[in-house]
Amino acid sequence: MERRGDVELFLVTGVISSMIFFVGLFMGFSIGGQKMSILQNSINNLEQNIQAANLHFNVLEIMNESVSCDFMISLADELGTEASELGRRLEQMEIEGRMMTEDYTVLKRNYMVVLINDWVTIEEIKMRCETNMSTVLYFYSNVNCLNCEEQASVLNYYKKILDSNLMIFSLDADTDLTVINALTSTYSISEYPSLLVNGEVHRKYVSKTNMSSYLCDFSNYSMC
Amino acid sequence: MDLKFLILMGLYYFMIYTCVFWFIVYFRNRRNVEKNPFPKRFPKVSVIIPVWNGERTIKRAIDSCIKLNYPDKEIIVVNDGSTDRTREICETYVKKNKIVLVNKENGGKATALNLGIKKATGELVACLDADSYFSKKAILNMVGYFNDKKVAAVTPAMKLTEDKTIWQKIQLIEYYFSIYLRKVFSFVGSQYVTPGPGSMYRREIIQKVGGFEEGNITEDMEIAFRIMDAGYDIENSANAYTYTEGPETFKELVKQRTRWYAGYLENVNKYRKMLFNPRFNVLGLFLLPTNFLWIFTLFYVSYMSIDATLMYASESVRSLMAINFDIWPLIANFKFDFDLLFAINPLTILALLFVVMSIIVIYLSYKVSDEKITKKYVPHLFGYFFIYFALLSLFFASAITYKLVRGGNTKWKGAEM
Repeated sequence: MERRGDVELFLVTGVISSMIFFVGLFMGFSIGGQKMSILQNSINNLEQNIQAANLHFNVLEIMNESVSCDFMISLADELGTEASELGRRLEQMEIEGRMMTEDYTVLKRNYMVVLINDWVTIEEIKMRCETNMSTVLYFYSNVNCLNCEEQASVLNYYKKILDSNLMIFSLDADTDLTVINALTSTYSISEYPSLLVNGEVHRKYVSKTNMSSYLCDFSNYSMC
Repeated sequence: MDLKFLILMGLYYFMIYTCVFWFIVYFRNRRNVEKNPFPKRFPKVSVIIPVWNGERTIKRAIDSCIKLNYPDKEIIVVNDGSTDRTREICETYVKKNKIVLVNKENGGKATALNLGIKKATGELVACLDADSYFSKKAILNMVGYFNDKKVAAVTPAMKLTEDKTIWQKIQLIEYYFSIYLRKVFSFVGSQYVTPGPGSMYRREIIQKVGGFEEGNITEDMEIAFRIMDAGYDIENSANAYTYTEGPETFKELVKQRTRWYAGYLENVNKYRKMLFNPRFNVLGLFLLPTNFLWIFTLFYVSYMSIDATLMYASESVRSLMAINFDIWPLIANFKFDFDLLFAINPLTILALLFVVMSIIVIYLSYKVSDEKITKKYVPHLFGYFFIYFALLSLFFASAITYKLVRGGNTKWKGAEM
């Protein structure tokens, strides 16, 4: 029976456990850091694609040539898909969001900026080309929002049905960003959820039925 | 970083520390795990079987004692006021001069054991629950530990007699795990239970410390605490096999565990002076305090899981209501977009480390129990990992409620095992 050396036993255990624990933690944070850098790269890519689209508009304008709508619509589709994929991945990083708060906040702010840029570009494409692509700017809050869960569910439902014909841009109103503040103030949004569906503002929860009529007012989708 | 995650990280560190601690104890003593000291002599052993309404199993218990591979033994059956055919069955053995039968009025298992010890003439006494039985070499494997005069008790390695139901399958793994734990606890003088099915005692010491406490719901735990409090040692033989019956149904299991865990809380409260007491070494400084931390971990993890499940369920219902339960478009357009890299985070890595350690613990448990992990154990292991841990907090909650409702006046009726 071990009677002597128990202090040594506790100490050796402490050293080995700490090593295992901190190696595990280090691996977790390294992977977290890697994920953040992958996301940041994706954000940068999206930003570049948006800039390229805008450049394309400008060049055509200078050259006085008409815009190739087929190309622009497929570009809008691509930009929307990229943005939604980014949003999904960002959501999956909730744990890191709580553990690596600062890095995550920066990443989220970058994402919000690029998302708004994306929305502006797609709206531009919609203005210039005839397309039945609906856009929804969805303002939500994690702090003070009773029906955000339901609103997200309704939007997700129509996204599944309309696929690339519906582009949703979810904006976290709690993010401290001038551009978000500017948008909420322009559209007099103070309650959440609030939606901007194809340019029309709705400052309350939009039910499944109402959303269907707003979307169908815009275009005669097969579901209408 | 929020408090919830800090607590979780702290608990992960604690779980890793505990596993590593017992791994080190095991590996330092790995050569002695299966080795038992060779007996310098073979003192007389009195086997005491307390029984209450044990007509179904008493014959098996007595037969196993008769077949014991040991030169000098006596078998004393204490009939604790049975109202079934127990007495009749035992009397057939008395007629053949195989056992000594003592009949008494029903008073509880501890009273039966104490009476048995009083009647015993052996230098050593071995206790055996009536629903259990010895393997042939059980006593022989334990006796050598009594070469050391400081040893007051030796515990056996308990296995289950059968694993028909899922609840017994879970217990089967739990019993192998107990064999491992009991062995590593014994290496650092920290066994705080001398189980009813098969533990052996030095009669002189057990009488000196006052015998089994009557009215205590886990008298086999109380006596272990008292023995250590008196400065004696408790050893373990990892290959002195005894076999016992595990509860078949969920209800029986909850009842048994409520008694065990309520007994644990009662006895730790009684011997609270041992907590953080350097005189009791690993038991006082580490094992007893960390047991409380394990209980907290179980409750905390259960709370987190229940909270997350309820939140998820409520969110799902609200979401479904928002789309008027029209889920077909969601199903028809479902895309599996699982991203492994994005599923990994510091907490999942720590959880994974703990799972790896749990697998090592199970491997060692099988090794110490002299069993092999085969395909037939898949349902057992599945039940152990996915049901047992969830059940543990239920057992403790039930035990705490039991203690609060019944207070300190807990008395187990009859010699129920």
